Amino acid sequence: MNLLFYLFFVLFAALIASFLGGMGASRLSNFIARRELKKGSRILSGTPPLRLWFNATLLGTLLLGSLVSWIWTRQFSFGFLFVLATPVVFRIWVRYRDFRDKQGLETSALSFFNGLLGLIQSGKGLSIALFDLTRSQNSPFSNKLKKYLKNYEEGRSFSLVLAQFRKNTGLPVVGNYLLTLEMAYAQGLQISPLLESMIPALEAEQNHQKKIEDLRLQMISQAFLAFIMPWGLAGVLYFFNPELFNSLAAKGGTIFIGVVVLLIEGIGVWVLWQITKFC
Amino acid sequence: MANHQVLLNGYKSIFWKKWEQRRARRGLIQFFEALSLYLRAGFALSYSWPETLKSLGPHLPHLLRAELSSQSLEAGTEESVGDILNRLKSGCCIASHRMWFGVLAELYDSGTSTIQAIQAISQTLRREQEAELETHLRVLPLKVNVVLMIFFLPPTFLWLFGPLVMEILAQFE
Repeated sequence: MNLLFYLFFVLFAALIASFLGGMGASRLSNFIARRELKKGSRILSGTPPLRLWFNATLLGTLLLGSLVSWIWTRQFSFGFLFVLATPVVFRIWVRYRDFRDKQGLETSALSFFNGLLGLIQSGKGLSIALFDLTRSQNSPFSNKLKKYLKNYEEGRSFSLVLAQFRKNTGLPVVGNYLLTLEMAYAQGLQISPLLESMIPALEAEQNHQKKIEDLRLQMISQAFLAFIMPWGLAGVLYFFNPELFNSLAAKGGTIFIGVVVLLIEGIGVWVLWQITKFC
Repeated sequence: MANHQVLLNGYKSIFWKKWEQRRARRGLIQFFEALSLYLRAGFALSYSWPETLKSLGPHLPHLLRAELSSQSLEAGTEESVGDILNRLKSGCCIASHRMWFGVLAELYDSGTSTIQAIQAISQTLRREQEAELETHLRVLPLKVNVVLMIFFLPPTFLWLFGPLVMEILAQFE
């Protein structure tokens, strides 16, 4: 009786656990699929170069996946699984591209503000100085602002145009300074002393940011080399000792070692990211 | 306490607190720099403080924003800038910053101009941040090398010796 009860209890517990586990897994996969679909549709409804890059990434992932699949399992079919990684890879790339764009804007903002200070000190108003500068200067910050200043010519208020520019560009460092500039303009304060104190502060902030980014880039390159080293070694094993590799693959050893290596490396990348973070 | 909570708290106490303090310091630098702009234009501190906070508020770290904001008093009134400075003088979340608020509170109470003090504070805080960054950069190569050795060297050895170990184990079966 006791044994029967125990068996039923184990069966019942396993049933509940599998039900809850299945439900959790389905919710998680649903959440990931929805998020990826949403991001993917935003990318695909974007500009044509972005769509082209998405398709190129898809093709590249498929080819790379097929190659890895053939080396690993002697079948091309598993390569299609790698296609699932395309939205993630592409999103990382888009985020990196946005980051580079923002960095370009932030860097060029300093020379723009220096020019603005010169024009304002020579007696020009903020709006006229901005128009003159965007016409004469050819930098990412100037070109971006030029597009927004067209709205002013169409009749929108200057404060609104500046606010739109600040919000849409979403610059983390320059954004605060633009906000102060907006505040000063809206309340009729003098812009020149403001710019005089802003420029050194912005310069210090940018140097600070640059140091952190350079450092992270160095760490990323080191981590990348360390990451590919085991896989290079696996390649060496495959090419120079195929018998040993094949016997290992036949026992499922390559999959086991591959998964363990990926797991340890994944944890390593996360730890590396955490320790290089400054704030 | 559950194991994962112990781990999480340990992680938070090692990294989180440090990042939180640095973020707060960075926010404070930006706040003081924006505040000095107002003061330079001729506005009083009592007007400039809430205005700066209102405009920079969303960009400041949550912890700092709550500290710098005016809190409701028991009588249903809001704190004045003098009250905020006195509160921060004795109870700012980052103990090392209390001294700065103490200086500002005294200057404000005596009616002296605060602009030079605010600029000096923001410069000192920036120098502190820079010095901490220098230390971070100096120590980092060692930390990175240790992490590389712990997490990236064993996987290499795994590919190197794993097949041989599996072959040997297979012979015992």
